[in-house]
Amino acid sequence: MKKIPIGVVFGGRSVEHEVSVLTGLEAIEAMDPQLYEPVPVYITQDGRWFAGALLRNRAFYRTLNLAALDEVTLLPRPHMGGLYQLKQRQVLPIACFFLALHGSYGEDGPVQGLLELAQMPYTGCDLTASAITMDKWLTKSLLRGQGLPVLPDQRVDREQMRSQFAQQVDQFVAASQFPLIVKPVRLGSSVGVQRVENRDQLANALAATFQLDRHALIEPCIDPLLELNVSVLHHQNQATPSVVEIPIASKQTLTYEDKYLREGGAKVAHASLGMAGASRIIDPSDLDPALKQQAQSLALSAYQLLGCRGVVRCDFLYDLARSILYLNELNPIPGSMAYYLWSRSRPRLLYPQLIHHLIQEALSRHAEASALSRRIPSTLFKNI
Amino acid sequence: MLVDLALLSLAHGLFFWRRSLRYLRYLQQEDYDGARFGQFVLQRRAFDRRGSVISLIGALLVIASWWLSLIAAAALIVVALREEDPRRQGKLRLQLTGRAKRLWLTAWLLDALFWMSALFLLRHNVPLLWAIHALFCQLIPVWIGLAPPLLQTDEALRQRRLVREAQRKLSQVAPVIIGITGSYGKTSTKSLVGTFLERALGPTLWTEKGINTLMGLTREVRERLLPGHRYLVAEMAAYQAGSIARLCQLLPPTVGCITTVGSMHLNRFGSHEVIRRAKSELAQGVHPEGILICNGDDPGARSIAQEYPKRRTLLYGTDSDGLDCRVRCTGLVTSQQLPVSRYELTWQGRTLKGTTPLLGDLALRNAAGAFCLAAELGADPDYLVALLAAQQPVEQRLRPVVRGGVIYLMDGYNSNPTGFAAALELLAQLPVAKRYLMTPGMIELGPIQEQENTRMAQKAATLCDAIFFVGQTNRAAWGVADDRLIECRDREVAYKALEERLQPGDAVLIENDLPDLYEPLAPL
Repeated sequence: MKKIPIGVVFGGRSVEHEVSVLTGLEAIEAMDPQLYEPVPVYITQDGRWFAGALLRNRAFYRTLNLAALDEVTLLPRPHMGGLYQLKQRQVLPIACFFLALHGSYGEDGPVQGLLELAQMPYTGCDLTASAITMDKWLTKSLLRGQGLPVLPDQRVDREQMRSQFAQQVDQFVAASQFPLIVKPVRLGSSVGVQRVENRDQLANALAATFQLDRHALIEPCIDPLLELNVSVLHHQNQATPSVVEIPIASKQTLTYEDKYLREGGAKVAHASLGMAGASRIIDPSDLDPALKQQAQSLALSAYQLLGCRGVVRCDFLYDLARSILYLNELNPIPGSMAYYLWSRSRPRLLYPQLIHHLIQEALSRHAEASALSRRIPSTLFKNI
Repeated sequence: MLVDLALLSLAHGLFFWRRSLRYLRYLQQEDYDGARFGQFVLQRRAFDRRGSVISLIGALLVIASWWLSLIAAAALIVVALREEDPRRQGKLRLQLTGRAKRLWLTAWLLDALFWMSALFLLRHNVPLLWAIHALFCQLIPVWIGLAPPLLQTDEALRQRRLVREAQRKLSQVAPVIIGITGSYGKTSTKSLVGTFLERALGPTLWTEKGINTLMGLTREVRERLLPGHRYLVAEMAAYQAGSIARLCQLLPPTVGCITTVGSMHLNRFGSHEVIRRAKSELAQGVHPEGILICNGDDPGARSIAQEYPKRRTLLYGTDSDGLDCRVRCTGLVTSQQLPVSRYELTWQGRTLKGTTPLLGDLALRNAAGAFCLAAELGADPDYLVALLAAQQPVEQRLRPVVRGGVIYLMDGYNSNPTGFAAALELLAQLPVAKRYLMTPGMIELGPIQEQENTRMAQKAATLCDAIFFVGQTNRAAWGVADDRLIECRDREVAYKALEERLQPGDAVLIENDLPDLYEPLAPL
């Protein structure tokens, strides 16, 4: 049987570039070699696309010898059937794109939009759901509107803060109670999340956030806090939640280092494993089953409300003092595709099976979308 | 006969290709100045040895038997293929830019022309041809050094066309231009000003890393300036009298900032007054209705401010009279294992307090300059203080890094006496168990180089537990600190020696990283 060429896209113009490389390489290694021919597609930090067998080698990313690769591009021309090789001037055939991008210019809609224009199938959420879920403020506003529990927040615009900065910070201080959490509105992997205890820290945290994003989000800080994650997958025509996990934070909030870089302790995170290497307890036996069920049910509702597809991870904050569960954010392309949760869930899916499922779903969704009529009978130009 | 001539030509071609790239790297580091490159070759005796020896042996072998010369040709090919590749090795790698390629091609044409002539004239005397080949090995740096003057007219025409393109773009976008110069501190100040204006006022282009020459800035304008940019922050370097005036013609500044008038590149200028005059070209270039901001602690910069006042002329600094913006470090604190400065900044009658990862008086003074400039253009001072809290030092400008419980103060950029002394004082302030210094000393200080290195060695000997001294360039001057000196052939050896000595809780200052021109030469 002829293998299906799958373009695994990773890297990208994002602060989560390196994590994306790990997710992409993991997916390539786990892809069923009987069915698929993975084609690594690496997007550099400055946005150039490259393909080539060398990209499978982790050592390559230390030196980044791009001259040894083929530069490719995706043209927004329907039915090209793959990537265009700039030097060879020919098409590198791709049947479906497996998106392993995290953060800006990849997880938030632009690549999905380009793939829509090129009429190429791709895994995960579509343009709209990707754009909404990567915007924490928009996601929370929509979920709040539908009655789902989310923390109150204030969105701060960099442009507006440029004048009378001190007075505006004072207003936030007057309207909130420390400690607070400050984070960029459109970044994932806990990049830029800061806990602040006083006015000066709040001012500095806002200024630091504006280096990463045009908008910052200020939220109350829950203390004591338990973080919970649940993944949701579109499986056999319906959304299905995974088991619950408790990620282990080294400080009060989970940081980028906890997720990808932490060393030591009983559970050793390994940088080369991506999100799968973080410290966590999967399906904790001592967690209240009602709380687990509530998290799963909320995750399911959020997934459906926002029109998600593929595999998504919903992150929750549980206020231990007041026993309230809040939906914190949705990750449209979770690190390591959250496979570590699906290997313990029902239906049990090992990583190759999960990948197979995501690709099949993408192909079938694409076929369905292609069948939609884009023309209506019209005589608009006939009488001109 | 034809076989050995062909093989010798092949070996020569390969040898020229690999060796000429190595020389081209040094020419590039000497700013494509053929005369300076020639001086470098003569002073460092960067002459060929391997190629010449093989050629002379080849001449003897071919007398014995023609086929023995094949062994010599093979040896030359092996030496060529094993040459260091400057595109992949070295601290500053060879960038094969369009200009570098043109120069290389010219050198190759010269070599090919003479080699073909030699081949034609001596085709019947192969032993002599082999002997002459030794001379060709020595001529490679000559061809490389001759290429820049030969291409001078062509290069000038090309540059003029590119400058015109950049000027057209500038007139379309019309950003507010901010020029920054100084013997040191200009790259850090530029980066701070760029960040401040971008975050606090609007879209800003600031030139990358140390780009500060006419062609570098022309390229930045052509490739990176976008229609929406409101501000353009350009670092302007003075390599000789008139350089900054030329830069001001391309980028007429509305705002000028002079950080220092020091003794860096004294060997190029000859005297401190010539350096001062060169820096003052920026003040002269600023529009009379513009803004001039100078470091009030630096006598040279202060005198320029007095000599060329503008509509607004402001002074910043730490400890002199009549400052418009004054900064004072009130101590060091530790945040996430890294040292952070606490400071007080006075501006228009207000005292603002904050913290910043920028360390040392020099860095804080640069921050005050950038603050003063951005605030004068309308940025909110409170916002600037908040931005300073997140402002990391520019790479290799006293940037602290913690590895294995050891604080590394990375200050690898070309050092000067003031910067070196300030870095040592900062090292002394760190609350650590032991303090180490790794340095090759300072260069390009002309007649005061030995005296300044001796002064720094004495200071370092009182503050550091050990000094890992790299190379031979300033070895004699650093002899005064002999009891603390650990001599290292190069940086690799020094790093290994350091690793053996360092313990968690120690700190090391890595001061000055010399260009490849000052490093021991790999065998030629």
